[in-house]
Amino acid sequence: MIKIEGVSFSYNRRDDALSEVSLDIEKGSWTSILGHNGSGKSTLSKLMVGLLSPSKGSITIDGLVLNEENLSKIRKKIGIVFQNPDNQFVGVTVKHDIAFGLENQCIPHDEMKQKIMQYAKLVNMEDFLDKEPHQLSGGQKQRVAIAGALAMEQDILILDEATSMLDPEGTLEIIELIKHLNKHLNKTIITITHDLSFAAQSDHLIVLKDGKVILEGLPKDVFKEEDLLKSSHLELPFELAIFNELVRQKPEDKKLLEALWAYNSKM
Amino acid sequence: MGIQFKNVGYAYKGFKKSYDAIKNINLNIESKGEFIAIVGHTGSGKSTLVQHMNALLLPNEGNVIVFGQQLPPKKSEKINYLRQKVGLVFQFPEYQLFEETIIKDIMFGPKNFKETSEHALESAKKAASIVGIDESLYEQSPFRISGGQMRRVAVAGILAMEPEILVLDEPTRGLDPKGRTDLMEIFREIHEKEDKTIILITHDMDLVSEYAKRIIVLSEGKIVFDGKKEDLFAHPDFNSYHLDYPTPLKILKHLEETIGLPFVPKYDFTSLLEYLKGVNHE
Repeated sequence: MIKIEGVSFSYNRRDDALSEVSLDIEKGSWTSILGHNGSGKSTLSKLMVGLLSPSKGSITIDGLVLNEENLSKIRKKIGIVFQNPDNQFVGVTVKHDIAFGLENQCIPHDEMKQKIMQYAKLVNMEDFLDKEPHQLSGGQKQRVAIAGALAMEQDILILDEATSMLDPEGTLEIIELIKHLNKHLNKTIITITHDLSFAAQSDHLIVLKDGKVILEGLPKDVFKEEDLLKSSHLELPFELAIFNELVRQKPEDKKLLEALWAYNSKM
Repeated sequence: MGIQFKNVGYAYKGFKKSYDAIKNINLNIESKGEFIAIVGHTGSGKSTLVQHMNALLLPNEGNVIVFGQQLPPKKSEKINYLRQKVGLVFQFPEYQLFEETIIKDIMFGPKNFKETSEHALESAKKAASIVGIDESLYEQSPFRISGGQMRRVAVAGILAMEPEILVLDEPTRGLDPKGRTDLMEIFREIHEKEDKTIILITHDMDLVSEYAKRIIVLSEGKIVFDGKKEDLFAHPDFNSYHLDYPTPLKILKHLEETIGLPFVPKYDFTSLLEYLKGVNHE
């Protein structure tokens, strides 16, 4: 679905924010891109939606090479939601905010109304259509932002640190929504995060450090590389760290280890 | 001394209606040696409560007594000095950085309290070293460092005022896990070395479980629990507080349900690991 080949990017022409990154993201998967602050993960997401263009290498999305000519076609395939819900709330009320992208596409009024309702329902915000942003919690604002992106009906949705400013409850709301979009609506989801517990729920993990991919694979396998993760300023979630420690120190207690692993996958 | 709340209420007043943010608060906080976590839902009154502790808000009802000073004060009394006694670190404090250099930003607080420049510089250097900001960064712009470092510079700005009590409103929010642990360890060290009272507002029950000794639970502006953490998590009303259990207790509950491991409460990583290493359940 997304193919990134040998992509480098530099903000200042001296240091590479990303260097020689190559990766594949499969259709219908939920991929998390993990990395410390400054690892290049947001740069990568901006490259994928064409907000930045690579200084080297190429990006192909659904068979289309990302270049100026294809940009408007590609924007119909891939959408992005950013970290701070307050910075991206552009409408006066929820309904205007969801409508913003649709208005820009000159969609007929009736169809637009119907779409606003449809996507507000999808994110459980249909009872808040006339609310203003200050009347909403962070999680609710973030769901409105997602509804606005979904209304564009793209196949791929990137969520760049979409939960890092939310409280645990708001985070859970977003996780539930992501699962629904991915499993039931077959959206390809890419989440950018530094939160390993959050990333543990996705199908596929990519770990960036100083602009390079250092680990890739299933969450279970990636989390075994504790030292490498630590050296990248990423800490294992409490429950995984306990599990790894017991694998090392009490490998004979299979019953305990199995029960602990079951706890991890339940999360 | 320390901080006392006596039947304190505060309402935010709008045009037509007023909204009670906290009500009937009675509280006694020692000036030394406490590590208190204040927890509760968004909107439960946590931030309103702590803003009374250094007179950013004055009670509509009742009295707050901070280091002997009664609030609201009598008309002629100046209370600015309380802001030095009780240092408050807001959420996302790095948004408040503004100076040209890091060291100037950290010095800003003590200078405002009419310290001499030399003394302010000395306090700033000491605070910078506590939070791990290296001397080589002093002359850099506070806007050209990482988010985690910015947060530390902002915290150093409060520490430089040498407050007696430190109040932290969601200090780790938005930091990556490493940044979170590093910052909390700085607070732990300040607490242990200087016996300073620390008051922490957080949503993160793992931080509460690992660091706090005493927990205050707020619900709809009222204190519904005030006591030791051991008592909180075992409290029969715990479910009615709508709080999450911390991860170590969740793991222990899961192990009790699945393999019948005896539930012995543990509150942090090391003690849970020791317990699990030691159990023999064959």
